[in-house]
Amino acid sequence: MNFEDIEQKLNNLKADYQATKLPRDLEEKGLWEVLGKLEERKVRFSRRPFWFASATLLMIIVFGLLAGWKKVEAALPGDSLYPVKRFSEEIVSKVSKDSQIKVENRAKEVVDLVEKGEENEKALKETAKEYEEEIKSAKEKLKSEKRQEFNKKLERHQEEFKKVIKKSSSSNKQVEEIIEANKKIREENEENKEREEEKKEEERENSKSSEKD
Amino acid sequence: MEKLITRAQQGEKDAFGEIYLLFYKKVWRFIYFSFWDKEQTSDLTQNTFIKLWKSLPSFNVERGSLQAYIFTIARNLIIDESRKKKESLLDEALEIPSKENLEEDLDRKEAAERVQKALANLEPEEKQIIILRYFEDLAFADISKILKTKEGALRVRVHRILEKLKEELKNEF
Repeated sequence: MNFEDIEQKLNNLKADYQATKLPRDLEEKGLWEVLGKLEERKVRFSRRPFWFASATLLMIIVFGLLAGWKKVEAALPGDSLYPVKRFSEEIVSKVSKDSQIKVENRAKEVVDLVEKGEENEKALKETAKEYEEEIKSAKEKLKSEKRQEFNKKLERHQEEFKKVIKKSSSSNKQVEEIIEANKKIREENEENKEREEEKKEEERENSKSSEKD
Repeated sequence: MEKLITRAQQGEKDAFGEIYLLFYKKVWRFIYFSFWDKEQTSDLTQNTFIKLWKSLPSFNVERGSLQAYIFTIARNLIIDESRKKKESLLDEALEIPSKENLEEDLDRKEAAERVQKALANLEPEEKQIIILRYFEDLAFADISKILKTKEGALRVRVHRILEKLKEELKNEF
């Protein structure tokens, strides 16, 4: 009898092994008994992806602080410090309940990206789009007394954009689009301001006439 | 399988239930033929899975298969239990439940006896090697992890076990 024969016989025994019947109780109730004895598991926050992402973000923040805040402020899309800049901007915006820091930063980034040149075309396109979204969003949240100040800011941005268009012709299309958007938002803002002033005037008149009565 | 493991690691009992259903029969048979006590076997099977639930968060697929991990837990329980009691006699362990089909169960009983007789002269660990390799079709790599031995040494050992089995299987089959 050689080893192949032995292995063949073991193979035959395998069928007998597989045919061995389990107790009926175990077949019918085993699963539920085990499930009933399992302790509730608390999901640990030390699971690698979350921990790793948090540690990475923390390192970026610490690195940003060490590298100097000015470098963070000057960071553009694609720079290693850019996420730090966006993160800090988010915090400031939420704490102050004012998203105008985002408007300022996006405007400055558009100018810097245009000045940097053609290789940043994709980043410029995205930043220009974000600028448009931010100015729309900021306009919606403005209180009436802040509208004039906001419009002055947008005018300043427009001057910067026009200057930079003259310097670089390759990014003209994006910059022209945001100049157009900027202009539109200023006009809407101006209209909103006039409507609010008219409404206030009406309310003043109404209160005067009701006093007389 | 990996998704199932991840879900169970995160605490989903449904996922763990699926793992139980995939492996509980294998674990039961492994313990039964190593330990040869039907009542204890069920308890040990359940304990294997309760222990698995507790230790599953630390299980890493890259270090080996889940099947090997489960058999390792089962084997460790067998070792602990064996230290507590003497081995049961062959006749005591095989009880036929009265409500079941007697004829069918007799066939199964004889089948189980054939397996047990074939393995009777082997040491407990040798039985486990034969069960894992020839009845559960585990790879040498997995078995070596379960037994905490090197693969080369395991292959040599299998060869020696087959030599031992030669006489037993020649007479019986």
